[in-house]
Amino acid sequence: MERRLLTAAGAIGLGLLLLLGRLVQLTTVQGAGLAREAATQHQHRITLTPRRGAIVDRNGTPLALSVPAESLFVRPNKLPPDAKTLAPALAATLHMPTREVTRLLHSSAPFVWLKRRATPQEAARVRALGIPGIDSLEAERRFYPQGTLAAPLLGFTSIDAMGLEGIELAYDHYLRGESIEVLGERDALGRTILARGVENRPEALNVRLTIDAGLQYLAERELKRAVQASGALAGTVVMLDPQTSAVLALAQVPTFDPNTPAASSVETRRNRAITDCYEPGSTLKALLAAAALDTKVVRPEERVFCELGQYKVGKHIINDHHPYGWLSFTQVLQKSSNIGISKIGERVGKETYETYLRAFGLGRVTGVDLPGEIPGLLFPLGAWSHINLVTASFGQGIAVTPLQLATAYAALANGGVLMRPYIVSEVLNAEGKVVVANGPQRLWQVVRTDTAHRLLALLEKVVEKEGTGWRAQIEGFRVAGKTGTSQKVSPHGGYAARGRIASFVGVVPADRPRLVILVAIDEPKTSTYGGEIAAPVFQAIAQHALMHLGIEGQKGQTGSAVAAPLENQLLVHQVKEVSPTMAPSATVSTGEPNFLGLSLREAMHTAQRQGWRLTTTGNGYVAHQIMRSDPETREPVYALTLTPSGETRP
Amino acid sequence: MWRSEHWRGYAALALVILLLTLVQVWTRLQVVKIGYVLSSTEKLVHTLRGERRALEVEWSTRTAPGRLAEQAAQRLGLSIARPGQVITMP
Repeated sequence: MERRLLTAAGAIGLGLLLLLGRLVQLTTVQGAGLAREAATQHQHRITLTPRRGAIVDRNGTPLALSVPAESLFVRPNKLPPDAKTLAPALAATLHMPTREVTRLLHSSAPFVWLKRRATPQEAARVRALGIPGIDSLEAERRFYPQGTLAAPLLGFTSIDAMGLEGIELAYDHYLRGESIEVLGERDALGRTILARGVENRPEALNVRLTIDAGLQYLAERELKRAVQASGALAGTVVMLDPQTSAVLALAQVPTFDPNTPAASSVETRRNRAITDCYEPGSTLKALLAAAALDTKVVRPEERVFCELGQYKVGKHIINDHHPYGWLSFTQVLQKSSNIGISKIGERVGKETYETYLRAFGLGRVTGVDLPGEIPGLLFPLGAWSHINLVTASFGQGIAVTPLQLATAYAALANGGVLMRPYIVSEVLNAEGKVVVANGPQRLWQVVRTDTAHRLLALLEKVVEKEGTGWRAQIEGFRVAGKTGTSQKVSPHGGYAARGRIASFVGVVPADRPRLVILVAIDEPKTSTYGGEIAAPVFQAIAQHALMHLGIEGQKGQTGSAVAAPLENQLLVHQVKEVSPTMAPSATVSTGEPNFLGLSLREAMHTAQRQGWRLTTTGNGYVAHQIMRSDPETREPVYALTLTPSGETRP
Repeated sequence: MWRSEHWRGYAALALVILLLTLVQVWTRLQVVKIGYVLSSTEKLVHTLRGERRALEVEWSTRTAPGRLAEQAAQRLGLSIARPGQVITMP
C-alpha cells in the first residue's frame, strides 16, 4: 500500500516538475520573444487628435467652434451588385445630386470619399440603410455660429481643419493643438482596450479676441445700411479702444459666410482694413496739424490766407471747395481748407512732416496679429518734391490702410502714444487657464501729451455746426473728428475721374476718449463728401456703441437741454400728486425721493440722474416705496412696487 | 522515507504557488475588464464633449445679435432703442 502511494506521489511530483520546467522555459528562456509576439498581435498605438479650439469674443461668445462629424467613404468593390439602385436613397439622405453619388459608387478606385464632414444625423441615416461597403471615419466640422459676423477677421479652415485665413491661420498652431500617441490593446474582436487609460488627453487651445460681438454687429449693420443707401462699392469700419489699441470691431462690406467659403470670391474674403490702402485725403490733416502744434510752428489762433480758393504752386493749382480768405488755424481744420493746410505744411517742412508721419506709423505695418497686412505707401524723403509736400498736406500722394489711420488717431486720443493694435487678448486651455496673454504694447511717444489734447480740442470744432463733420454730433457727448474726401487712384495712372473715398475718423467722448471709429466708404454714388456719407455712419455706430458699453453722457453737454424740462416736470409731478394712501416711509422730506405715481420709466430716469439705486417689482406705476439699506455698502436702496393703476393695494 | 511533516510542508508550498497563480490570473482578467470600461468611458466622454460642442453651436446661433434683432423686429415688433431710451442704473 505504502509503495503504491509513493509511486503515485513520485509520478505526480515528476509531472509537476515537468510543468514547472516548462513554465520556467516559457517565462524565462523564451519569455522575451513570446512577449514581443504577443505585443504585435494585441497592442497598437492609437493617435489621439484634439478637436480644434474655439474662437470667442471678449465676453466669451463663441465665434468659431468645431463639432463632431463623420466622413463617409465607400469601397466600390465591396458594394452589392445592385449598387445603382442605392444611389437615389443615398443622395436624398446626404442632400447630394444623384448623378454625383452614382459616379462615386461606380468609381474604379478601391476607396472613395462619399461625403466629408457629414453631420452625425446624416451618418446615422446612411448606416440605417445598411449598405455593405459604406462606412465612416470620425472627423470634425468647423462652425461659425454667428454667420457672417467678423468673417474676414476670423477667416476659415480647410476641409482638414487647418487654418487658411484670418485668425484661423494666424493662430493655427494653438487652435490645432498637438496629437499624442497612446498604447492600447486589441481583443479578438478588434476592440480597443485602453488598459493604461489616457493621461493628459490632448486638448487644443482656445483663442479669446478683443472683439466685442455686440459692437461688431452694430458696426456691420450701420455700414451695410450706408453702403446700400449710397450705392457704394464697399465700406470699412475700424473701432479701437484708444487707451490700449485693442480692436473692438473690424467691419467691411462686402463680406462672406465662413461656413461656406467656397461660395464666396476673393474680393469678399480679403480683410480690407489691413489689405487695402487708400489715399486718406483730409483725414490726414489732423496728423499734420499735430506736427505743426508739436513743433510750435503754428498757434491755434494764428490766421492763414487761403488765397480765395486757388493757390498756385509751381505749375500746379491747389483748389478749395469754397473760396476762403483769412482763416484761423482752427478754422483751416474746421472747414478743411486744402490751401490753408498746404501753407501749414510748407511751414512745417517736408523733413519734419515725413518724420512725424512715420512716427504715427505710416509707411509700415502696424504689427497687428493678422496675416496679410500691407504697409501702405509713404515715399522716402528723397523722393519728395515741393508739390509732393503740398499734396501730402491734404492727404494725397500717400496711401494708408484703415487700421493704420485709426491707430494714428488712437495715438492722438490717448495723449500722444502710438500703440500696437491687437486682436487676440488671450490663448486659453480647456480649463480656462491663460496660456498666452497679449496686452497693450506701447511703441513710442509721437507728440507731447498737451499737443494731443490741444489737437483733440481743435478736432471738436470740426464736429460743431460750422464744421464739415457736424453730422457726427452725438447728443450728450463731446465728439472730435475729421472728415475726408479723397480721389481714388486709376489703374491706368493718375486719379480716377469720379471714384472717391468718403471717410470720417472720430474720437468719442473727446474729453475722456473711449472709442476711435474710422469709417471709409468706397465710391458712394449719392454724394462723395465724408461729412455727408461717412460722418452719419460714425454717429450711428458711436451712439449705439456708447449705449452698449454703458458710457453715460456728461450733464450740461449737448442734450442736457432736453433732460432739464423732464426733470422739472418730474419734480412738479411729485409735489402735486402725493397719494393720500401713501405709505409713511415715502413721506417727502428734504433730499428724500418720492416716486409714488411715477411710471417705471420716469422713476428710472429720476433715479439715474440723481444716482439713487432702485429695485422694482411689478409693472405700471409706483404704488409703494420703501427705503432699505444695502447690507454691504450701507447705501440706500429704494424698493418700488408698481401696479397698473398705481394705487396701493389695501 | 520522508516523514509526514515533509509532505505537509511541500503541500503547503504547492498550495501557496497555486493561490499566487490564481491571483495573477484574476488580476490580469481584472486589468482587461477595467480596460474595456476605460475604453467605453473614454468614448462616452468624447461623445458627450462632442454633443456639448454641438449644443454650444446651436445656442450661439440662436443668440447671434443679427438673429435676435431680426426675431425681435418680426415677431415682437421691437425696434432699435434710441438714445435716451436706454437707462443705465447706478
